[in-house]
Amino acid sequence: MCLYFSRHRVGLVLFLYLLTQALLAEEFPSDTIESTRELLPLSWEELTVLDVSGLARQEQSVQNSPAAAFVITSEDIRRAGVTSLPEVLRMVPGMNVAKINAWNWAVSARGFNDLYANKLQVMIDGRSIYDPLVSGVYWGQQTPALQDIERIEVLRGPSGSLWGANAVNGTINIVTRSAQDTQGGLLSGGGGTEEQGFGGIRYGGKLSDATFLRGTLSGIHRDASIDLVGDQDTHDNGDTETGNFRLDSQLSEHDQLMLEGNVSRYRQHGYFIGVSSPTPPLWRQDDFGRDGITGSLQGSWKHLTDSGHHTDLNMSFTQTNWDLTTNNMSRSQGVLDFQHSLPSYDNHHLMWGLNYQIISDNFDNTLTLGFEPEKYTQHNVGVFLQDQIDLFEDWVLTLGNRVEHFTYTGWETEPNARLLWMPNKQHSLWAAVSRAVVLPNRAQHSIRLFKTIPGSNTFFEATANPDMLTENLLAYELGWRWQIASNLDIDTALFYNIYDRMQGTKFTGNVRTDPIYGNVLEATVGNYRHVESYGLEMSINYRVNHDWRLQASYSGNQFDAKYDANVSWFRDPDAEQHFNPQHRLSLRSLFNLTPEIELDAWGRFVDEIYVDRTSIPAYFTLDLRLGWHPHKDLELSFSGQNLLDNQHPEFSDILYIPVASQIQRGYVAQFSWRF
Amino acid sequence: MLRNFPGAFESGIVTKAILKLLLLSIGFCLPGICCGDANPAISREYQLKTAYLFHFAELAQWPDSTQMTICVKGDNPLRFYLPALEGMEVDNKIVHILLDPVFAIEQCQILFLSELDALSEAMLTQAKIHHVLLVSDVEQFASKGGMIQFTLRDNKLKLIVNLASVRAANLRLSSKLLRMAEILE
Repeated sequence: MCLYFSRHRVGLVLFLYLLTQALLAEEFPSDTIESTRELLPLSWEELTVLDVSGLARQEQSVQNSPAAAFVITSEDIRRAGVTSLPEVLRMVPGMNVAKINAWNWAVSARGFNDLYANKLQVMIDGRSIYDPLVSGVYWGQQTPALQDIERIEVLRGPSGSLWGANAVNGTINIVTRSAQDTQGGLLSGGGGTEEQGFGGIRYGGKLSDATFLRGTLSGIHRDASIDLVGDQDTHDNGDTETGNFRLDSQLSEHDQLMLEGNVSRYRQHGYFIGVSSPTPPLWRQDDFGRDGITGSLQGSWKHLTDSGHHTDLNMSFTQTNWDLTTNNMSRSQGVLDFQHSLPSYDNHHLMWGLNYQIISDNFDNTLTLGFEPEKYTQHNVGVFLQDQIDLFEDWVLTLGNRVEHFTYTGWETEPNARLLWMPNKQHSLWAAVSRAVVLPNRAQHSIRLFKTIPGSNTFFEATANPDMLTENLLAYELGWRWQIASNLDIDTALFYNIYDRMQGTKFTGNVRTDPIYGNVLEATVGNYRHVESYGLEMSINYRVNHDWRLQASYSGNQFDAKYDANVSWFRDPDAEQHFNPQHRLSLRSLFNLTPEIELDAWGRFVDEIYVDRTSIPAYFTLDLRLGWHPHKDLELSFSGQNLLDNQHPEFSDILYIPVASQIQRGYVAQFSWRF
Repeated sequence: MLRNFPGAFESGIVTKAILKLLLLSIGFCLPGICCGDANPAISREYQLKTAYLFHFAELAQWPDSTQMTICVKGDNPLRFYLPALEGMEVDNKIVHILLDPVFAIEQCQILFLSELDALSEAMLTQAKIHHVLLVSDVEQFASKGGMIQFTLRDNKLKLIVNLASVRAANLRLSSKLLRMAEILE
């Protein structure tokens, strides 16, 4: 790398080097003091994770990335006092997070929120966890131990050229701690009024000088909630158990290997599944619950050459089995992913990659719910190329494109161009234009749902549309990061998104007369709508001193949908405008009363929404947490959640199967002990 | 990366050009050290050590102190960074930095020793009597009776704490500090 000078000049070089050092020592840089002071507002937890050489990776990636990025650290997670992944995401500007019941959440970025919202790519250590059946995440089935998470990187806006289809409105990458960082034991647990009991044990050991292994076992039991009227129990209690291991090995100076395995078992209630039958009663509604098991195995091999080539090979295999009254499913998914970063050439930094995905599923259809064909296999392949070009003094241009071939829709392309300008240390501005696609999912392509229209005795049959095309997004974004002082910064992003060929669900107008069920309305799905959205996201970080940190975020958005007003729509054609709060605010305070005692507060405001004919009023809510470290290896905490009212609804859902409930005030006590 | 290097070398265009080339080549060889437009001559490691010392002032408890003076004994790059703490407030105490070649140990609450030789029996006794937190970044410091030793592990700063020495000087370290430290009992 350093063979830049010919050999006979080494002596001269050495001399000049020493001369430089001497000059530097004589006149020590004047901003030594100033730049050192920039570190002083950091909390102890933030300080102790910083790298000695270079900036911390996360800090750097956020500050220099030409995208709306936000990083949640393990410290943020611990001090939020929460027990599930979606709750953690509430602190991110631009993220919509609404709880439907104990196990179901509506989580999305930049609007389009719904149960199983489909425009968000979510990964754990690079393995996608969104479900190919609905292209959304079943959050109740993703219960990694929060203590094992090192950080969560959230990217709002499209990043399809890097992460592929469905990375449309955002990408979330959950990065777990390496086995090397989790040596020894950790016993944790707690319980409360809503989170009735949870606990886990982790142990990490050293297999050899460069190989580490850890395992975690955890479980959760949640109480039932209360319905939207406020008098009926929604029976959404249930439990999940998860086992996880991770192995990290430095195979050689140049090679790193990681293997991770996960098995989750979940038994959850609160699904008012209806069952249609050819004999009376033709329709019976009951809570049959959901029973399932998901297992995954993944590995990654990173190789770095002396000449600066960086290759990354990832593979994962996921098996999911569901046992529902209306349908059983067994599905296997395999992903192979290769990525190669080339050494910088002139002012170009090139990166390219290939990926292959196979999804093979098998359903046991019933009269109520079926997927045609019952057995189906999809093969998807993609290739991407990205060039990051340093222009002039302080401009960076990033051009990228991904071309993919899908079994459902054929060839698709997801190009983007991003420009970053960093005129000085205080300001960085960026702009981006990107195209992204939402792939039709298995449900849209093959579902057959036969049940009564919610709230009536009339049956309908919703059938899939095998001709469904991708939903296409063209996004324009602008961003500005301003470091006002060493302890104060503001991050702002603006977006204008145009979504073409958006899905809509409508009654076809055909009414089939059935000898048993009478008149059956027919409904279908298709690319019937056009939606535009624009919005503003802002986050402010203020470190009053190293014991007190404040973080505020604001998001505002507006939607405009165009559709045929003469059609009888099955689902609200103005869903985007109705389902998404116009304004959202979050204000967090992380305060150390003493080095051992922490007092944290988190207030949120969410504007009113209107979901499936149900009005959800605006709400203010407040969480408080008191943490205490009586011993270096013991942490105790007590949190109160949703303290400002007895209960409030956050979302509703009548079409799908979970029953919507209100979110009740809750208290939870937690402990964690390292040994 | 090095474009914003301040004009410390004004001695002729040729020297400037050579130095520039040289600095660029150094930057080229060690891309990991350089970051953004930060000055390459500023050591991140010593910046971090300075910030750690600032936190020690809060995470340690002295039996009876109304002041907070951090002293450095011997020649160490930390001398260039520590003045960043001068005048800062911790627990209602104003931090003072003492870099004089000669000083009385009882003036210091935290004393950074640049060399292991400085950790003499006399020094340990004085530290005990005057409740001085002894810190260093030299190898073997904690095992030889020093209180907090900086060490590098996986590109991060780690601490080795000799708890017996800390207690002998009637000092207390917060569990928060001890949580991330390796402890020699």
